[in-house]
Amino acid sequence: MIHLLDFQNVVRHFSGLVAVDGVSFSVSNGETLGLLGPNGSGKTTLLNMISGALKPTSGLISLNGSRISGLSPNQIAHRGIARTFQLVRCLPSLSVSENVIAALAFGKEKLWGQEAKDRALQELKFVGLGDRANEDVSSLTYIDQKRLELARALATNPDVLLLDEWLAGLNPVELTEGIDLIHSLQDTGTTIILVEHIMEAVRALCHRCIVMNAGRIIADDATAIALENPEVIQAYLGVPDA
Amino acid sequence: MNIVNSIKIVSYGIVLLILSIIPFVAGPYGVELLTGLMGYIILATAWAMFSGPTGYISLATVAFFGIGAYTVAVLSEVLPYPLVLLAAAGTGLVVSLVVGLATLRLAGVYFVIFTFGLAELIRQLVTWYEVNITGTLGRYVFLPLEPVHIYWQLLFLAVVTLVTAAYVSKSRSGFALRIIGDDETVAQHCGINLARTKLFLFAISATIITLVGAIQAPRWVYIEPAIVFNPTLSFMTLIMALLGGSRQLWGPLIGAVTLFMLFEWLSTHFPNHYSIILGFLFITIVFFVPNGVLEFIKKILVRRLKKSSKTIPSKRETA
Repeated sequence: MIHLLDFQNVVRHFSGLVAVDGVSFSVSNGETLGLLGPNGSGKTTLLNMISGALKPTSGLISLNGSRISGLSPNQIAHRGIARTFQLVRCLPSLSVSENVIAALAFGKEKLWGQEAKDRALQELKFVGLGDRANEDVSSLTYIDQKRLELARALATNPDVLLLDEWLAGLNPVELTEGIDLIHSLQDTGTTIILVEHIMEAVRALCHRCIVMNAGRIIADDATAIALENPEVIQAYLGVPDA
Repeated sequence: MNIVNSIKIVSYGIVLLILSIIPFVAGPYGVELLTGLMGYIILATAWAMFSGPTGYISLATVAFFGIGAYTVAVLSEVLPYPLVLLAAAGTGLVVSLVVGLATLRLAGVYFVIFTFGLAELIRQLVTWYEVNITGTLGRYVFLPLEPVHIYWQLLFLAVVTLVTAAYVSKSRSGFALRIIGDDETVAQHCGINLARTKLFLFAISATIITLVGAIQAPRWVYIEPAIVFNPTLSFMTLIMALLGGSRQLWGPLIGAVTLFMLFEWLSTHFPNHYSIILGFLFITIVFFVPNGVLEFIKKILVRRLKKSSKTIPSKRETA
């Protein structure tokens, strides 16, 4: 398999605290990778370093063989990485369709005018918001705002899509809908990195899982195997009392 | 659609024609009033071009205005007038790029305080230079320009500013500013180069503001830092744009006309209490119509429309 995204000995310090401590792994084209670990284990820091929101203290991150660590988020977006946020971030003063045009107008393709409107509608239809294009963002429910954020990320036509707890906070019906939506994304061949706590979703979606604890990788394996790893269980549930 | 557009263009043309010939009937006071008004229309519109969508509240308006006026004072006897204006615009552009590079990373209240400090800094620097190097505080601006010439120049600049603002608001850069105003992190992840976008539009806005100062300088004949770097001008511009609605094309213009006329009336009728009323107005506007009058009216209309569409089915239900 060709490696799309590569981490080589990546370290990130926050003054004294080591949030990510010498992490190396690769992601293959078309793969869905789950990034798991207890709170504070370094998952979101890792995601932020891929998208450029944070720069690694040392180490190398490369996409398609060329270095992306050290580039600004807008440059990384142009290279083909898109993300959603842990707390949903829609643009409140823009309409639903304008939220998607935001990514189309300044992304790789730089679409504008009618072309951008048509493509925005296409992306909105894909996430199930086709009939709400002209509404205000404030009229959307929580799941619909998440759908919109996904449509915005997809509009950049990314090689790698980063989903930061995209399924968190959904009710059971919405969760099923959300998982189905990501499944249909997988069918298009998009490479996905998923930070997620909902095990049902991880099992249903991820081909492979990386489990982190205290900034280090403690397991990197096919999902079923990684989740059975004793060290992983211990990191999540703690050591049994004597 | 084309008919609507051509009607629009014709009516703009008629308004422009009326505004151009009005000085012939308005008399000296009228021309003076129109000149002041036109100046504020440009200032508020240019200010809102950048600060409206981004929410970066700049109090540096008077810094650029004063730079324009001083460039004219220094160069008016050395260079021909059109070149003097060009030099003023150039100075404004260079200063705005330097200031922009240094400050546009700041956000929120830090940016406001910095821009306010910048205006004071430039004023003090100019004062220091004049007192210690040239040995005088004020300068005379003698240019063979009549008040009506100044008015026409400002009218022309106002048209250019409004056309630019309209173009920017519909352009990709204008759209980028709105996204930045909503969420800078998302803007970056959409692929927007924050520094370049903000700097570009801040510089356009600041250059126009500099030109207003340059064109108006001959009005006073005598200028000194306390006159052309008076911070009240920054606050007036800000409050005019906010009153009308800084995110609408015509908002700043409406705010400028309303408040300029009101201040003119207040300063003649309540010369001693003028500042108190001004302060009170500032607070009222920020408190009650923070998004401007135009936005406020729009909201009320939308609410009424929604109400009237809701009342119809409820009547049917009761029947």
